[in-house]
Parts: sequence; structure tokens; C-alpha cells
Amino acid sequence: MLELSCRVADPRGLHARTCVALASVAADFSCKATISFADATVSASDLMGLMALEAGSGDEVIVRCAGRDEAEAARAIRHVLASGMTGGRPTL
Amino acid sequence: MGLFDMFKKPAAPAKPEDIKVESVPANIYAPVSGEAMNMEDVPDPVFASGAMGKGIVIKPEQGIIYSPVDGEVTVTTGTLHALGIMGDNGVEILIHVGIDTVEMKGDGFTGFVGRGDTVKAGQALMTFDMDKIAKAGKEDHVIMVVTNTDDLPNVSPVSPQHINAGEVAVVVTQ
Repeated sequence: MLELSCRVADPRGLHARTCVALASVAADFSCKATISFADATVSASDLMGLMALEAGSGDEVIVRCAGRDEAEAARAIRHVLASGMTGGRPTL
Repeated sequence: MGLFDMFKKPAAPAKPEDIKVESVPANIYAPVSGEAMNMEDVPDPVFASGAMGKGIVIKPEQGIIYSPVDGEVTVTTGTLHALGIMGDNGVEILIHVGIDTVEMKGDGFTGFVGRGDTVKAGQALMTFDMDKIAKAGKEDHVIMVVTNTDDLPNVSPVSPQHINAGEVAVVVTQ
């Protein structure tokens, strides 16, 4: 199992678009991926759960991936969180 | 009316009246009155792609959101612009008011429910100030997505038309 801490880079925090990007990315991998913030842990493919985390800009979330492709999944998830990827729109 | 009324902050909008809806499990009701349009036509590539699930978009004509189903509030946001509801009919619904309205940080949004609250279809959940959204340069489309579309055999939004809050917006089969 891989565990890493990632900072939410997007000034809008973990908002709807970023949650969609995360959920789409997590769905591409076979491993089990979770994201934790404060006392809550949700599956990285659970869109509503991700939104409910309400992680803000600059907050640290814990990403855990367990499975065959855990390294690639962790990298991809970290990229989404670090780049403020908003699924097509350029970030300001 | 007292001498000091002029120093009081304007009161938050009062909770609007609920709409009476005779709900059935197969229906998801429009959360707001306005022009319903296809999800693919919403001016936001992420929602329009359907990556979040099937649903419907309504260009609102008034700033009140009513519950689309009987169920429980699962997600609220500090910025008050989005709500998640788990329907008693097994449908998971995300209501997102406007596009990029998270940036308004709650200004112009008033919520009347919290996480864990039981809600009934037609119950007034929140209000939003359409003028403030316009002044902030944001679109005010109300986006309603069935986020567990993949778990349901069929999710069918109605075709583009004028729709009133409380009318059938999406039909699902379990």
C-alpha cells in the first residue's frame, strides 16, 4: 500500500470539477484508492464523498492506494491535486 | 419599527414556502423553475461531458432550490452553492448552482438544510441571488446530476422545455 500526503493546489479547493477529475482518474486504475481529510476517508471514485470532504485550498489530504497499479494511481491522483486540473478549463 | 432598525443588517432571505409534490420513486423532480436543457449544452466542459453522470440543467428564472426527491442531505458545502442528496429511491443527486460559483464563497447563497437532514420532494432547500451571480460574472445554470448513474439501469431526463419546480425532470428505473 502506498500512502502520501498531497496539498490541494487549486485556489478553489477540492471543488466539483477537481472531484470529477479525481473520480475519473481513480476509475482508470484497478487498485483501491482512498482520500482522507480531517477525520473522513472516502473512496477516490466516490464523487459525492470527495465533495463532502470539503478540503480547501492549501489543505493536505492523505492519498492511499493499494493494489497492482498503486504507484501509477498515486502519481495520477497527486497530479490532479497538485496541478489544479479542472478538466479542460485553463486555471487562472 | 425602532430607531435603530436602520443600523441592522438586512435579514437573510426567509425560507420560501415548500412546494407540494406527490412524489413517486421513479421520478426526480425539477429543483428550480426555468428552461430545462440538455446536460451536453451546459457552458462547462466538465459537466457537459457527462463525466459526472446523467442529469439535467435548468436556466433558472427564480432563485429558489427545492428538493428533487424524498431523501437525506449527504453533502453541503461551506460555499453553499452545491448540495448532495441521497434519495430514498436509491438515487444519488448532486445539485450545483451556477458555474464556478464556488468562487463567490457563499455570498448570495442561503441554505436551510444541513447534512443528515431528511428532506421531502418540493421542500425549499436554499435560495440564491441571481443578481449577485450575474454581477460576479458567473453563469447561474442549475445543474442536477445523478452521480450514481452507472448503478441504475436507466436515467432519462426530460427533453428541453420550460419546467416548473416540482414537475418531473428525470425518470429513473432501479
